[in-house]
This record gives sequence, C-alpha cells and structure tokens, in this order.
Amino acid sequence: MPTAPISDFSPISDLQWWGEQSFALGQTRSWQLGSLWLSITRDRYEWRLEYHRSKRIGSYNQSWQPLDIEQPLPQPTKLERYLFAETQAKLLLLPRLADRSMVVKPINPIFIPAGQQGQLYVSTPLWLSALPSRQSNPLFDLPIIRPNDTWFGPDTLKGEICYATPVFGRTHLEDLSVSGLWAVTPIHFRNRSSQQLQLDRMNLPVDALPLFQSLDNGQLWTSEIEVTQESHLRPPKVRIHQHMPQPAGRVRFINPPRNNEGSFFRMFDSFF
Amino acid sequence: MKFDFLNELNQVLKPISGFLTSSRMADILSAIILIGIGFLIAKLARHTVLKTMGRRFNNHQRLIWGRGIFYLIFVLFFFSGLREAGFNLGVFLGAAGILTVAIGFASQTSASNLISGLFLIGEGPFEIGDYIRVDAIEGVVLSIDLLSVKLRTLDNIYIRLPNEQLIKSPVQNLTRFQIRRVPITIAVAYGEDIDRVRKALLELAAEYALVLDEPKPDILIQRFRDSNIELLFGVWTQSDHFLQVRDEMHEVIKDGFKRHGIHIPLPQITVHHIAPSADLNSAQFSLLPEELIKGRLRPDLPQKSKN
Repeated sequence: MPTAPISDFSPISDLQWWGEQSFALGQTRSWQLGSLWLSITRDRYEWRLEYHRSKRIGSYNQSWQPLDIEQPLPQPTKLERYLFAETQAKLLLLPRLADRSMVVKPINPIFIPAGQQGQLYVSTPLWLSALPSRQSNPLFDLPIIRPNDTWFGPDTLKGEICYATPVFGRTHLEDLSVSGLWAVTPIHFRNRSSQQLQLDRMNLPVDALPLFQSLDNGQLWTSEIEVTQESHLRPPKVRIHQHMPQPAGRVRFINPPRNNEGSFFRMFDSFF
Repeated sequence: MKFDFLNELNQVLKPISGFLTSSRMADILSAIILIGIGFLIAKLARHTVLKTMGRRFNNHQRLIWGRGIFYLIFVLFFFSGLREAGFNLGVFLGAAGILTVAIGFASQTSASNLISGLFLIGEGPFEIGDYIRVDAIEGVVLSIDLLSVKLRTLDNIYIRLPNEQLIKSPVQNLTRFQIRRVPITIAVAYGEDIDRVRKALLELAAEYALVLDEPKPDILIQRFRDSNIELLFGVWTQSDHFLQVRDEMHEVIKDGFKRHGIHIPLPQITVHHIAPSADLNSAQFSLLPEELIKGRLRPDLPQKSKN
C-alpha cells in the first residue's frame, strides 16, 4: 500500500477520479467509473459500499463522473458493510493494477523482424481500492472494468489463470488515448535472433509492476518492461524495471507492486 | 475331612502374587509404558511436522505425512515394547503372518478394501477437497481412509464409498485440472443461419467475464434432429466456477438469442396426410409437440383420422 502520506494525492487533471475524499456523518457519495457504478456511505460505526456492474462486459467505457445524491444506481446492486469502532471523515480512493497477470492480445498481428527493436505501449484496466484513515489494509479492492478470465499456458493442463484484454499496441505515444481508468505499460522489444517473431499474446505481470502517475497529464503508468530475444531456440529474456517509466515524463509514485515475489519469469516461457 | 478354605485360597493366589512380584510383571509394565510413551511421541512428532513443514502441504499431503509419521514411530515403539516384555519377535511375526492369512480368509472384503486403500493412497487419483464422480455418486472428498473414502454431496449428504469400489470403477476427478469445459447443448431451427448463430454465441461468451478468452469456445454441429439442429457449445471456465457458469450461461444464451432474433425452436413434426379414398381429405399437421404426437397418433394415422 502507499508509502506516501494521504495529502500527496491532490488532483492533477480531469483524469483523476481518485484521491482523498471527505465524508460527513451519514453522507453518501457516488461515482460512475466506466461500467462500474458505486456509492460509498459513512455512518458513525460503518462504511457502506454499494455498486452495480453489468453482467455483460461489452465495450469498455472510458469515462468517469461523480453522481448526484438523488441519482439512483442501476439495479441490481451489491451492498457491502465494513464495521468500525468509529469511522473517520477521510477515505482515500486509490487506483491499483490488476491482482493477477494480464494477457494482452494485439487486435492486429504484430511482427518483429530479425535484428529489429521497437517500443509498444499497452493499456490495462485498473482496480479501485479504498483506504480509511489509520488503516493499512484497503476496505475493498474491486476491478473498475472486469476483464475476461483467460488461460495462459502451453496446454489445458499446465498454465495459469490470467485476465485477458485486447490492445491496439500503440507505437507512438501521441496515438495513445489518455484515460484515468487504464494504466499504460511501455514494452521495449529487441529481436537479436535470426528469425522474425510474431507477437500473438503477451502475459503482462501487472501484479509485479509499480504504479506511477504522470505529473504532466495525470495518466497512470507502470514501470517499463524490456524483452530481448537472443535466439529463437530459447525463451526471451525479460527485465522488469522498478524505476519510473521514461516516456511518462515527470511522475509521482502511487502504488508498489502487489506481488514482489517470483513474478519475473513465470510469464515468459510462452511469451510469443 | 474339613475343608481348609484359607489354605486353598493361599494355594490359588500364590502363583498370582508370585507373578505380580516377579520380574516378568515388571517387564510387561515397562513394555506398556514404552508403548504408551511411543504413542505420545508419535502424536507429538506428527503434530510438530504438520505445524512446521506441513504448512506448505495440501490436505491430502498432510493426511499421508501425518499417518506415515505416526504409524512409523508407533510401530517401532510397539515392537520395542513387545521385545521388552520378553516376546520373541520372530515367533510373533510368524504367528502374525498365520493370523493375517486366517483373518484374510475370514474377512476378504475388509482385506480387499484395505489393500485397495493402500493402492488408492499410493496412486493418488484424487485428493482431499477434490470433487469426484464414481458411477452415479459424486461429491467432495472429505477423507481417504484405509477401508473407505468419505464424500460430501452437493446436498450435504455424507457418503462412505468402500475402497474396493473405487479401485474397480472408473473415477472421474472433476477438479483435478484448473480449467474445465462446460458443454451446453443448443437447438436451433433449420431456417437459422448457422454462421450467424456461431457469431452470436462467440459474442455472448466474450461478454461473460467468467468464460475464458483462451481456450476459445467450441461450437460443433452434433446432429440433425427431427425438428432442429443440435449444436454443442463448449465454453471454458475455471473448475471452481463450473456450476455457476453452466447455470448463468444458459440464461445468457436465452437472453442473447432473443436480442439477436434467433429462435430456439419447439419440438415440431410435419405430417403429410394423403387420403387413400375420397372421404378422407389431405391434411397437414404441424407445430405439434412431439410428446402429443407420440401419445395420440399411431402409424395407422390415416385409418384413425376423421377428416
């Protein structure tokens, strides 16, 4: 969870839906974040979360807005209650990366010819967590956009459950549509082998990546991943940088990786 | 002759009191104490191993390791105790062998279950917590014991399955692998565009988060039935979500077909009624449920008809 103090997360741009929120006793505040509709209520002895998400995933909605108190959430909703000895006025809403790896699939096939290198920017959906004052663990941690589950492995016996999301895989930073509900991961490819490589599916270990925010436009970024293919007979070498992503410019640190252990090589045996 | 009771009693008790004060009794007592200590040490060792190393084990491994450690230590102490009590272990083991054969003949079923249990534990076709199906019985494995396996069904009913039955019958382990295909049978009308149905089904699967993106869903034409084409729609999901996906996917398909304007046909039959004589008119029956036709119309339909 964040090491920075709560006051550090002041809004930078319109993309920022998260940050410190103040609640009076009995106050309810509601938001629409993509296809997730939620309202949070503070009572003296409990926080209440009510949310609605469509069963159909459909097209990914990128917009977000705070809702009026009178505006009811679409039905059906799910209600969760969190009991406290006494609630405090402050609640920190924070974006997080997904809780397991994300398999990204380019919408159109991408090839990396022998001896070439290139940079791709891929976006993955975010999770929402809420942290009350004086609490180190979040009250809840739920996906803003619930991606499909998928299986990543050589066959149906060996592999792991991941999330799947289709991506365009932009090569130009300017082509990347900015969104507060997605985080961008820069991936740098180097094909030093003698054969052309086809990029079908990539298993992105987002649970092993830290989260940053660009101070220029408020876009959320993860650290950079570097993939080097030395020979077509061997799996590619992968390096996850833990420092700030260079293309994002000036950034501030939001969240450490969810999972710091053993995430480095499990994704890459069938990377291509 | 006067019966000397005290003298007789003394004669009877003399060997007993002699035995109780003899070194033989002391040996037996020390053997019992040794076996008791062995029992406690075996329990302690099992507890310690399971509390330390055992944290990394699953339930099945905990069971095997726990029992293995307990019986190994206890049996060692048991035989040490017997030796302490003055038993000749060679003779004892020989007698035990003969006894085993005798008991084996007397209780063949139990012996068969016992041996089957050892094979089951060794082979490990399922573990505690797995969901298995044996013949028509299915449930979650609660324990794997030497004589039987205990299951809990979805109706929360406790079932004891003899190990012999598990060795003889095919056992389906429904949760062995992390993912599983959910087969859904769908009937579409002959008039539907199958390609359009395929696209609609793939779209519905892609919109449902618990259906895996990979492996891709399978859509296979199974057969031409009397009044519809039968398709097999196989979607993949996590084994833990199988029941939920099977239930919700049917609802998703029904609603999705309605949205896409695809009809799920009712059973129907078309009968061409060719009248053999002038008083019988030609008639056509259609859209009659198959059950009705089976119950009311027989092959001699033309003779029965009053048209």
